[in-house]
Amino acid sequence: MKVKQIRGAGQQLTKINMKVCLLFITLFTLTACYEDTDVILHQSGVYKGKIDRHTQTPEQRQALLAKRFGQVQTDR
Amino acid sequence: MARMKFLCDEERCIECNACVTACKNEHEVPWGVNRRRVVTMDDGEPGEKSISVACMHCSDAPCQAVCPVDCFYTTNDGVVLHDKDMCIGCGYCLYACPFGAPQYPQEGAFGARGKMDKCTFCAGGPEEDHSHEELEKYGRNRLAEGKLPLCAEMCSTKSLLAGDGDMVSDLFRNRVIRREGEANTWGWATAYKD
Repeated sequence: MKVKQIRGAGQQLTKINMKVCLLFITLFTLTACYEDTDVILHQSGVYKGKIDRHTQTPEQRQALLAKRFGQVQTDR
Repeated sequence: MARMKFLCDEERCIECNACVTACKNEHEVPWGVNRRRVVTMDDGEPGEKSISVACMHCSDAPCQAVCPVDCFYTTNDGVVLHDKDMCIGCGYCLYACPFGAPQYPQEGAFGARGKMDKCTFCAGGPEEDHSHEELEKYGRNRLAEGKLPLCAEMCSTKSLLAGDGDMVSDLFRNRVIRREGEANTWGWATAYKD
């Protein structure tokens, strides 16, 4: 009797393990089906990429580069 | 507002290719991609001339006009840049560019054409200034550091000039006056040789 009970419990455990495994496999497979819904709608002639934000203002940048030009691009 | 421009003085260029090497080294440009190169006309013959060529950051850029996904933009200081996340690597810009500036690295197991790469005037890209993403995708952002493109800065003969177009043309005009010659030694009639 006892041997039969142990066998029955073992089979039940195997069934539960199989179900858990199947559930994990299904979840893992479905993760590959994820689609990013943040779609960029194209509009002809309009740039819709990332905005290039500079750390300096255009005036600061211009002044810095003009100074640099005087330092490194002078004739010899 | 300043408009950044390159100018190569063919009278001074000695075809040392240091600008090419500096660019590759500064931006860790992948194998097979040259953002800048030196072109020599009448190579080996007396009177040969060389010029260093890269993206000229056109005011009305043809690459920008033909891009099917409009991934190009022009910065306040006239530098033509692009967003690599939007680029589809179609190659239209290469057909449109008169200087052959757009380059395509080989990607994937079969060496498929990757996203376009070109000279950024050392201005990085649309990613945050000095970020790791910017460095990895576009190279160093020297303009944000208050520096000019390295190719021009380290040119030993000061043949390659880079900076505000007005300042560059003033410098070049003075050179031409000192030389007592014409600005274009080839002459307009021979700008395009057979």
